[in-house]
Amino acid sequence: MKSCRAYDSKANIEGVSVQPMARPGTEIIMGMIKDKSFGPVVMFGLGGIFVEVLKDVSFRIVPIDKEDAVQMMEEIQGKKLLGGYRGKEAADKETLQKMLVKLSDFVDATPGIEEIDMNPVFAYSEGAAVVDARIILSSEE
Amino acid sequence: MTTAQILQKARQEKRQVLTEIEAKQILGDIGIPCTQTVLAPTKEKAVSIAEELGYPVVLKVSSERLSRPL
Repeated sequence: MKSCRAYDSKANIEGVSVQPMARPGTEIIMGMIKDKSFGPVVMFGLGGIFVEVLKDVSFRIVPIDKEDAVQMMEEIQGKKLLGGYRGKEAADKETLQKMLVKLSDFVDATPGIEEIDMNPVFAYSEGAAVVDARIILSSEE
Repeated sequence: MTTAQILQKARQEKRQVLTEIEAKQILGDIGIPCTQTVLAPTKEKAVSIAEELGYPVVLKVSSERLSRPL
């Protein structure tokens, strides 16, 4: 907190957020950005180095249905990693698909959101958990 | 707070970036599973929340201006 105040004395620090340390799972990223031509698009990809180095992500224009979500997960190069590898647990694709559709439905119904970033999401063999999330609102028109 | 209230509050405060807690509240409301995240305004409160949630816990600075923890 001291270093934060030193970095930005006007930071208006309201405290600390406390959360249980999530059990590690397959790292996923999901989000929404506004494309200049297409408007809101949802994004899906593998987290960590896969997004940072390999840019292994897929996009769809909002709104999406379940079939779009299935395709998004099929389109990434590293899709095999979702099935479990080297003894790692597989990712619960059903849950991830539902999350993508819910994200799309929300964005479709809620004007004024510029960007949503869920990074990382930990996917388990059953269920998933968003570990960090950010939402940015559009500047007022 | 409901999603509409969170968005309205941020607008009133002329903020474009929601805090992690606000973002997770909104996502949780639409049925996206998030890790339970609670704001602790003081050190003592952080300890009691941590004990309630169960260790190990992760602490991040919560600020309307610093959106990524340092």
